[in-house]
Amino acid sequence: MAEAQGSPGPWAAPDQPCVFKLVLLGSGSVGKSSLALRYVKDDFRSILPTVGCAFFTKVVELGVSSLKLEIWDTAGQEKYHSVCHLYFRGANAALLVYDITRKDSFHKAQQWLQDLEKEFPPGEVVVMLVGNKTDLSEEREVTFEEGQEFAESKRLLFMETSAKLNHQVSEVFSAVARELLRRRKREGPAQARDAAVALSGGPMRQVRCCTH
Amino acid sequence: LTSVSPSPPSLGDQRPALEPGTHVALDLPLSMEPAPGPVSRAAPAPRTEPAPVATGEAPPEPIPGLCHPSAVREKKQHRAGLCPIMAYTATHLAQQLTLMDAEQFKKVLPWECLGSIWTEQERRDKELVVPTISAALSHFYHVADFVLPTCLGTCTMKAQDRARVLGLWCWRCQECTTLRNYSSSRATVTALECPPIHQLKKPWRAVSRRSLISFFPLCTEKAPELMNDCVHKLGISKLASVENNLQRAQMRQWRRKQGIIPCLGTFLTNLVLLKKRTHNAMDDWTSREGGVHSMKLQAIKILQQLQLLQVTVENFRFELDKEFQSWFQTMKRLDQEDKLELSVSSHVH
Repeated sequence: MAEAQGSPGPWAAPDQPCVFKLVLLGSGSVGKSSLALRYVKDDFRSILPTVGCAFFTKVVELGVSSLKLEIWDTAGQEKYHSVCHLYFRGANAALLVYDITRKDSFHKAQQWLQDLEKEFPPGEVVVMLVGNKTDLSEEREVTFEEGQEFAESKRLLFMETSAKLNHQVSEVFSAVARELLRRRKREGPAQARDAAVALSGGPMRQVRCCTH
Repeated sequence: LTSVSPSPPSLGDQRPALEPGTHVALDLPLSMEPAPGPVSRAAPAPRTEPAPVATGEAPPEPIPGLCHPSAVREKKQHRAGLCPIMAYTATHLAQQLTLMDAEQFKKVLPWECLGSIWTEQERRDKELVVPTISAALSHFYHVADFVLPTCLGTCTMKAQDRARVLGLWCWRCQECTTLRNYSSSRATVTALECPPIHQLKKPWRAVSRRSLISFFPLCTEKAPELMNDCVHKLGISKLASVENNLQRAQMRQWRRKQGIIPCLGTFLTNLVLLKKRTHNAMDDWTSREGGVHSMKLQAIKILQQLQLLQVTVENFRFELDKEFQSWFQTMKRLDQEDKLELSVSSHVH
């Protein structure tokens, strides 16, 4: 069954909105918690580095359909790296966040992608690359093109945001939500018919490429 | 993101120019007033005539006008053997130490507490591996070392003088507990229970009953329990375990306007114990990762609790007494030999 896979959400209750688990990954102080806070509470303030993991839920309305996102905001600091792996099990989507003013955070996001690939069969998780802090564009170290190129090569969604200025934050989450719903519509019936096929990790539809 | 504050005014703002060794000309006389409260436990002011007859009620006899450190310093020079600490009320001492403890505690990086990091390292590397923790621990011992010489003092100190100082520390310990500063409270208890002070039979007999009564509940093994009770009462452990939204938990704690400075040692002990359990679990069921994982998550919960407490520390807002702070900072740290010497000399009288 799908539950055995650790992602009971989408197929759980018929009347409730589907629940998808989304994890925020990336190195320390790139703005993962700020993105989550901006999206869920529409708030921006200086926050303490996350210890372990924080958790938010948000219902996303997409036209006629709605879905519930469980947002798992993980700690970016290297010291918590081993614990973060415990949190991203059973995720349906992942945001790989980097700071456009720090090249190392961009490399770290690429490492996170490798970790995800180890854990999940290809195409099982919707992955989006997010370059945060566009408000600091004068200190930019990672160009838009670099990000986009990497995203295209790995077939990830891609966007640049600013949690501080509330620029494209909700767009990120709704793009992921749309992608999740699209996949569910395609793969849902197949999974419902025979979950074992999905478990065996057969070739899935490739993630749609960058929209920009 | 080094600032620990979601709150606008941080304690750090109030103490920009604290440099050890600089004795500022006193421009904050207000800070020396005993804190308003139902029980004004002002310490006795510096005495002008030697060895008064009444030894009993040391702390509760306020003489407001004389509670001024500069006044004391002058007097001190005239009269050897009088301990300058007596110029401060227990409340004032507790508040000032709390400000310092808060500053240290805020700086602690939660991940440094993870047992796996610092038990595996050589002890001597501790300052490099876990700088914020070793700073906090060193501050803890500094507080303890601060108590020791004030009680033992010079060999000319009389038993009655010592009794008064002991009484003051007993009250201060109680005040710290009232303020929920369990770190200083524990440091004082540690100091007062250490052999050189513990064996001061005559002075202890002269300490007022009221002081002793306030001190006894703190000096037993119950102290960590007291702290845990308080943490439970404020719902911090519950918040950390139930509330997954860290930001919300932090804001809620901050709005409560109550601060707690825990004894860091208690946290570290808990984490080390947890780590030992994790090791045992690995030995027992190597195949079952679940046990280890759940313990890792438990450790994270403890760290989240620590972080919540760091947020509450923002609620300590006392006026900073620069004079006292710099005096404290310049206080000599004692090594074993110093302690022994003090102990021996104190027994001559």
